[in-house]
Amino acid sequence: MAMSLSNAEELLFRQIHPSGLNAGCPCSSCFMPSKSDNGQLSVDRSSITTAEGAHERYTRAGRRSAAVFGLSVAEFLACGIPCFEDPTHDHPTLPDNPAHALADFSAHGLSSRRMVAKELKRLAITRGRLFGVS
Amino acid sequence: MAYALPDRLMPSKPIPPCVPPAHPGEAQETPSLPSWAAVEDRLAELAALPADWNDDGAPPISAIALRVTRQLLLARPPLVGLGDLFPSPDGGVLMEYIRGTWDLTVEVGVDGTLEIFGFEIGGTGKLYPKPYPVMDAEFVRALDAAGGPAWR
Repeated sequence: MAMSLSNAEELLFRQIHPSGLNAGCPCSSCFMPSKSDNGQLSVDRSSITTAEGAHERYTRAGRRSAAVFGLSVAEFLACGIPCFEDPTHDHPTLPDNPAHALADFSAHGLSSRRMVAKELKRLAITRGRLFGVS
Repeated sequence: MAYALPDRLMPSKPIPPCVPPAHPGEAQETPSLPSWAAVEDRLAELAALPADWNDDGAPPISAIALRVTRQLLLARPPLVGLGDLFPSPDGGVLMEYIRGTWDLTVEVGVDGTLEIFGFEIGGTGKLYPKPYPVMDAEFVRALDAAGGPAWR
């Protein structure tokens, strides 16, 4: 069973696809799991990697990211989103990533997810971009 | 791309409801605001997105969603200066903006349906998503009320 993240101050990095960035600001949909995510939003743990390191690992696997924003475990929890460690190793489709974690939206319906995503986006913008491609 | 307008270009009072063209098919006039070209550029960018634009299987943005978004911005020009337009993973358009103390989203669905939702920044107010089948007077009233009372 996955261990929940207990350090409320730990930052969790979220990769922002170029299509989700406009004038440097991310769209709220970047902070909500997609249909293929099974209600789990992928993030990377700051206790194990840096924003730049997370971006490098992410894009090295062939995926696109224009920026990295971050939210704390406490901020996720305040929005009703618990977070769990989810390191990947020898996964058939995912690159090895000891920093990988999941923010669990499964207790929320679609309407609630969209509201939560907006609040997460606002918090992430307040913190500011943590890494970006110029 | 940002669409920020100088404050002096912002209407000082609520805008009357959008008047439809006198004849079906008649082109609506576009606002003579300097940033309208930026809106058209952004809508063109969204229209040009191919299938799988988000690397996660998203469909292209639907022509209906783009048309309704344009109609919405024509109906309420202050939104041009407030909002950012994003593609929705469902093939619609998301308009995200701050009005007053509210952080709001209008989502135009792939079929042209609309929803408005958001929350009060630093407060407890929440506006939960409510679907509107078309951009009618009821939707515009909800749009005007969200973060209101007056467009500035």
